[in-house]
Amino acid sequence: MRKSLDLLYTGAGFLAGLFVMAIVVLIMAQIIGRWFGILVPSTEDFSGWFLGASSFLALAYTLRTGGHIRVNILIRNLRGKTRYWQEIAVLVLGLALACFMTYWLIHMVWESYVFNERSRGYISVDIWMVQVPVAVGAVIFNIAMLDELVHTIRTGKPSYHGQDDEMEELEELLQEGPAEAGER
Amino acid sequence: MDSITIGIILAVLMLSLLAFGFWVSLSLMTVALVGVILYGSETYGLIFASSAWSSSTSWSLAALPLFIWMGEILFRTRLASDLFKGLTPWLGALPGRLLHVNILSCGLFAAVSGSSAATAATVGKMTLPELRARGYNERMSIATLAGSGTLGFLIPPSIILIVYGVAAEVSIARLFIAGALPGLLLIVLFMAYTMIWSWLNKGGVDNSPDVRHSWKERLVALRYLLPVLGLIGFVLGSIYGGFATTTEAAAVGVTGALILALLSGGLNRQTFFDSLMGAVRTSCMIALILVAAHFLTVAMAFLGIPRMLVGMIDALELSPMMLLVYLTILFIILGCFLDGISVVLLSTSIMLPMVAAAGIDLLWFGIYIVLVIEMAQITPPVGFNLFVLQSLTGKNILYVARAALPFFLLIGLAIVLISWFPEIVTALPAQMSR
Amino acid sequence: QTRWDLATGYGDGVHHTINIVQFADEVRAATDGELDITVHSGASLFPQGEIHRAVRTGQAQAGELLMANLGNANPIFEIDNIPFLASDWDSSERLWEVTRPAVEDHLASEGMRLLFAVPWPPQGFYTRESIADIDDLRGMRMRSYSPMTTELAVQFQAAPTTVQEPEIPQAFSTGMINAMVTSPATGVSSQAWDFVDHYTDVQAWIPKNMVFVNERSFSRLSEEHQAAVLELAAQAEARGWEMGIQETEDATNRLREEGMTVSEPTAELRSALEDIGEEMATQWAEDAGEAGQELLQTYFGE
Ligand code: NA
Ligand code: NA
Repeated sequence: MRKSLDLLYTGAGFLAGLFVMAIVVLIMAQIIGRWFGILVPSTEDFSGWFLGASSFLALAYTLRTGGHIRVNILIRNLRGKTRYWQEIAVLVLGLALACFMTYWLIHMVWESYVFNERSRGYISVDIWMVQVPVAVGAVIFNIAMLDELVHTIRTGKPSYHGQDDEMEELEELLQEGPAEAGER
Repeated sequence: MDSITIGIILAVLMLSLLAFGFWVSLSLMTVALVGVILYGSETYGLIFASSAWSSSTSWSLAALPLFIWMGEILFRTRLASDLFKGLTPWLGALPGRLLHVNILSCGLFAAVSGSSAATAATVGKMTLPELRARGYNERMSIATLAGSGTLGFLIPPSIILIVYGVAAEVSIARLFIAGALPGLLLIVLFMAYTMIWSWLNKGGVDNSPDVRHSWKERLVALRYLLPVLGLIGFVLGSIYGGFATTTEAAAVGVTGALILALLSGGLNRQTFFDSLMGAVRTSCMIALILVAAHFLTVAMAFLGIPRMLVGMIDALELSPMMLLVYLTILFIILGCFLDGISVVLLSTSIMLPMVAAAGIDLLWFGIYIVLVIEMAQITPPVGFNLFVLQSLTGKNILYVARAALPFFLLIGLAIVLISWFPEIVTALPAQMSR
Repeated sequence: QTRWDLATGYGDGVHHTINIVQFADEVRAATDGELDITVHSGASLFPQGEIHRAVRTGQAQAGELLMANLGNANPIFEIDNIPFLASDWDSSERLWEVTRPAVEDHLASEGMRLLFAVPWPPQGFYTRESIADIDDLRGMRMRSYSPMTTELAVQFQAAPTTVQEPEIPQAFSTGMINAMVTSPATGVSSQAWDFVDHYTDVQAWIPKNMVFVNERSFSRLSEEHQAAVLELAAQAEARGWEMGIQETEDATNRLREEGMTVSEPTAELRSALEDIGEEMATQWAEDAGEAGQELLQTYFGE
């Protein structure tokens, strides 16, 4: 279970990377094509869609690796039980919001399908198709958020701790010693 | 409920969520959601979905992950240490020495990047570890970077100027040219401040003995700068040679960086993968904040809060000078909570008629707005350059913001200067007219 | 009191927005403030691409967009984009009379109601060199921003080059493009005189913006208010066309004042362009099917 979940997050993250590469390839094709007088059509549309796909597919991976930033100036002074409940509250709220996002993004894809919406470019595609990766990314983000909540209830610490900025900072403080610490 | 009450509720909610350690992106999203619901909209879910879809798939945004990836690649090459080797003999005699590398590299990189966050991320990724290794004061290293990273918006190309030019119907080519001199002005101010600071804080900089470098040494060292200048030339050449647009230039930059990494032997499967995933992580973080910020923008537009604020200022019937003072304060307050592009989008459509009526040149006003937004990039709780530096250094956001405060004030000084001498902005574009 | 949010992608200075703001004011006055329409200009609420769907699903009660933007949903919306089909004000007005019922039907089928449609100034050629003949366009790098403009460039044997509007000045000054088809209004707003010398007023086509409202929101108004909105909409349409004509004149004069050479197309150019227009109209009718062909026949028949 643990392994397959981690694979899911990393896999989606890797897919996000492929989409970024695809943007580069597409734009370079347009530039080189223009040189030879060949029109590579709808690159603006596709780059935009790839960007959306990449951003949403990477959500869970970014969450797990502590990439989403937060203000930690107050919470880093919390210790023990208080810190535990603060983290639980954050995750419950986060899960609620992830559910909201996921529900409405899936609704959006469904609606595009029902409305039979097509893109207005030289290459016209069904909008729902290019929206699917966004909804899928949101679903995986939702799973990751739930995963974190369960993990935190069980072990008392979310997995993004330690990769999270504040912990690093504490470690740094310990390593660097008083000279640097006094400067703060 | 009237807009003022709702506005106060939302501001309190935002501060509480942020203080509680909730993610920045999700905090903005929550506030926006509450705002749209308080407005009485039954379609808040649909509004979220359309704003998320349109803001995460915009073409001009496609440059963002590419410029970040470019930075991640360059970070894994010898470029950073080469930059130091090349600049050291030149900066050795200057008080502050390699701190100026931060400022100068940001200035150079701003000429290929359209965004402030990308500028700070790329240069910071290269220079911060080097500066730390050489014993430079960390706080000042972060501060110079936070300040000069904002040059990405002012020195052309610039995402903000494109957004403004479209909204205000001012020629973007002129805006780009108008940004050049103020950009240089900021570099001069930043370097002057750094010199004064270093003179006052002798322990904060490189402690090695002062080595005199001959002119021959300096010129020979220039070869280390060739890769970086080559890359900039490659990207700028693609723009000014008519091969690529500003957005497309980002892809040229990635390609150039990959070639450079291949040539210098820094590229293998592992580093390629690492750089890509690093870029994905940072740009995902920024993209989710942009999605949330856009949702918040829509919520604010529904609620009419910016309209109301501007209306309050309008009712005071101020002189142009006083109007600018009030607008600056308003922008700085808005900029505390919103990202720069959102501020432009929210306010220009309401503010521009008022500004034009006061007899203020809209071209000049564009550069002014960029400077104010640069200040907003480094004010907490929402400041993109702060976020970038937070994720680069692991320092908390208030530490970074406090460090950047002098540079916040220096940008303020630049605003005073361009108000006093508008020619700094208007002289170059005036040359364009026939 | 009823609140409507009206979303548009265009800025406050554009004659369309000025007209809509006046319409909103008049509605407010006519309904004693009972119907309060807030105009959200410059894509501050929804970007151009989302407005149709936002109004359809009730996220905003009303919206404005370039008709041709819905060309993929129904070719009827693109009829005013066929080059050289209706290229003066009178024929453009007649074309709109003929198409209006079909546009209303399509919107009604999606739960929306057309309020009014207002034209942009006619589209002309912006080039560095003057063009006397269709051959002068051959091999040029021409800006394309829609399927129709791409097709047009292909017809001229020019190289279609995609450039977004904000990037026009840079694309011209770097030589990425050396010709574009757009209105004198866009020429003024992008300060075309900075990078081109010649404007050839070929009046290729006269595109329109339309303002529409969600039918459910509309039906919630009292009958009296519904009638008031429709009457003021009709007035706004008439006023908008006058504004469009005035705007064309002002913008064209401005191009002249800024030192550009504004010229009428030569007879050779005009006849060559009309041939191309005929071919593209046939192509359009093929895509549009029977309904489209009937429409064209009615238009030519009158
Ligand atoms: Na820049
Ligand atoms: Na800020």
